[in-house]
Amino acid sequence: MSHQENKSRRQFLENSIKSLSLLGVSSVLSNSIVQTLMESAHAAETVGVGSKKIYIYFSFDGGPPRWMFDLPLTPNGSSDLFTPGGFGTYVGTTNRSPEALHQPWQDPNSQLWLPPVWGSRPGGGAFNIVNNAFFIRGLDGEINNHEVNRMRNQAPILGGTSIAGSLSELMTVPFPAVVSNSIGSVFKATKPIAPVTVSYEVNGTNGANNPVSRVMSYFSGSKPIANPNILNALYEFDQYSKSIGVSQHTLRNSKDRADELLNKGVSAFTSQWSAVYTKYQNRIKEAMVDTNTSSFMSTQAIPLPPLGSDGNPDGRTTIGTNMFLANTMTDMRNLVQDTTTVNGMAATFATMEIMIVNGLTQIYTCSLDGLSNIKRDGGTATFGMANDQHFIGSLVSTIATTFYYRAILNCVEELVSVLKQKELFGDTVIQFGSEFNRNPKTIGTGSDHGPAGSSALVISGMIEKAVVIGNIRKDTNANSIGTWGLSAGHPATNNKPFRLNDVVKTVCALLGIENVSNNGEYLLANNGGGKWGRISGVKGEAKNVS
Amino acid sequence: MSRNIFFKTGLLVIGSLMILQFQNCSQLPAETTMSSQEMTVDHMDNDHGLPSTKPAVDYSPVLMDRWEVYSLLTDIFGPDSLAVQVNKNALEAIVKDMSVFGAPCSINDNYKTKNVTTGALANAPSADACSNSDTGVAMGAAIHPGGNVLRQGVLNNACRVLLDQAKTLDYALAQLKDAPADVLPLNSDANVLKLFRLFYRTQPLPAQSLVDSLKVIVGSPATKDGWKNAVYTTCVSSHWQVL
Repeated sequence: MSHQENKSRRQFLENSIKSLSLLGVSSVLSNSIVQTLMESAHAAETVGVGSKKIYIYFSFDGGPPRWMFDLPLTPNGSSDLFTPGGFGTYVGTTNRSPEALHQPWQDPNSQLWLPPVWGSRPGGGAFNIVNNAFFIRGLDGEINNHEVNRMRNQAPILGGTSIAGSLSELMTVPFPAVVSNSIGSVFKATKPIAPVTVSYEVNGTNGANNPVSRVMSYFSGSKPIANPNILNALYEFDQYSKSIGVSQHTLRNSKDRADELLNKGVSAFTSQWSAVYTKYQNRIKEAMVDTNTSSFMSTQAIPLPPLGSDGNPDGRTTIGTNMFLANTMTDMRNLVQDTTTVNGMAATFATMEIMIVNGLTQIYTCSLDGLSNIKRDGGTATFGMANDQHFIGSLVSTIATTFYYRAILNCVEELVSVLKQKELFGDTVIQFGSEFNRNPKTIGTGSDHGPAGSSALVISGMIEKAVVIGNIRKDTNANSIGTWGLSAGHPATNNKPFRLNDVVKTVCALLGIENVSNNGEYLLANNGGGKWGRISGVKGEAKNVS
Repeated sequence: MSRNIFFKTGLLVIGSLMILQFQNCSQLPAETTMSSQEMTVDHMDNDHGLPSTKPAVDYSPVLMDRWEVYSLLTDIFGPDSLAVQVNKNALEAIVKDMSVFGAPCSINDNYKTKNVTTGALANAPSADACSNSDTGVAMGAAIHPGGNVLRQGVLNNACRVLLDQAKTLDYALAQLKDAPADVLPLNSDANVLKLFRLFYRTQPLPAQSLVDSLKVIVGSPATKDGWKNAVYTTCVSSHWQVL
């Protein structure tokens, strides 16, 4: 509220007090009435509006393949636009030769055909969160650049306000936002709000060196102020700052929030770390184990392809530039083992859960790293697989990346179950994005950047049934013809492909904040009662177009 | 008579309703009814619900950056604020945390360390580095961020640590005494205002109510613990950070 408005309001209220006195109401009572109203109004101004929304953003830095989202997503189950063989997500053997087949999985609830990883919940059946998933395919990323497009998922206007930044202005929790890794650098609000930055080096399961303890270490040693004389003097300082017109409301808020944290007790948060961290380590481990994987991988042994006639390894065993699996590996199902993991992922989810369910923050953005400890041979040699893969389409990438997404979904499912218990999921938006997808080569040996065929995913308690939107057209590029396809025009966006602006605008609408992109179209329909779903008619279509 | 009371009550009710009407200062988040079915050429992003009354310019006072806060506290608490390790740690926490207190970070932050055994050079830890930071967060740190909880936490800690050390407490109190030979400053308006001026260097003098509130903390007669609490209160009041 501007100073001018404040002055006008004060004048009005002074006049009101006089008016009430004229009515025969005692000056003490009338003052009390008016001051009470003033205080509550001022509290509303200073504390913020207090949004209940929870926003989590996962950035896949490097641009991994899009299987989690839509490949080979053909909602009607047909694959007529895709070259058979080589680019599916099911890896098995045909005539004793391993290959990746086009074999999507049908969600029994929505009847949509989805990437098979969704039907591979470690406990059996499908991941429950599929019912709250919104798949955005046919997304044209427009810019072929890792860093720029990574940022544009959060802030489509480069250097402009980000989704997390905009929402943080409505926060009344101790930490307006928590960020980690490179995606944190794009955080921007219109007010000078600084997010908390966390990093994920964890010193053992019970180590004090965990992200929650490190954040809380800012407050350890301090005790909450209980002396009423001190509290009164602090109130006088707040009044003083207002009286001289230099009141910085974020300073006042920060003091209140810091006191609130001290009152709750730092140990209340840090003591939870061990159990929660171990829980997510176990979720990742169980996702790497070969149970209920038949939707994306044969239950029979998958041998390596034989060496080429030139004696070189088959390109489909590529694990990096001029690097291949060793031919001592007899069964490609053994690529991923229970020690295969994702660097920092358990710590990320543990920190996220503790900070959100304890009301420390409602906004969390982070980047997810790639897989590590993948078997390379029949012995003990292992390798890591970054998200920045230029060997998409190889059998190694197909298998390993599917397990990667399986682990992520398993952790998200766990987080969502906790949020549901705390009755928070109904206000939660979890968004997944990356700088671009990949266009695999027809010969199945690799891929390159594919911004014109990108996708995104949103999971939210405001979505009650799986939704797919977006059109795909055949890729006619000689190198990648008939593989995963490219974005096509869509009726919801005036027959142009979707752009990041449309995704961001839709997410902002779910969060109840102003659109941080300068334009865009909504990709979901508001069904009322805080629920969102598929847009009816052609504007909600998800087709493969020629 | 009863008619008079009825009339006055009615006016009171109307007056209260008018006051309530005027209290609608907070803006609701942009409420939107989203459906692409509603799209028209004239459809605007913020054409939903009540009209927005955002001011054209949203003024937010600038806060001291990390070096200014660090310098002020070392000035108030004297050379032992850096000579004693626990004090030094508390103050260096202010300087190190760019994202909390703001940058700009300096090229001098991009230092390298040298292994004394092997002679190998290594970049400064990413938490300290400026443009060499792995995550880029240091570079992205706001030049002048607003108040935030971690900033308050670091400040609370620095104030507490500095006041727990006898030498730094005595150094601060010495600046409030009427005469150097005094054991403690007297509890007077003048001395309390000196305390105020230690932190609020250029701001206008406060109202008497603030002075009185600090005097209550100091106690009558003044005690060392009383002065310690008064200095702590002023230190964590935090508004002195506003430029």
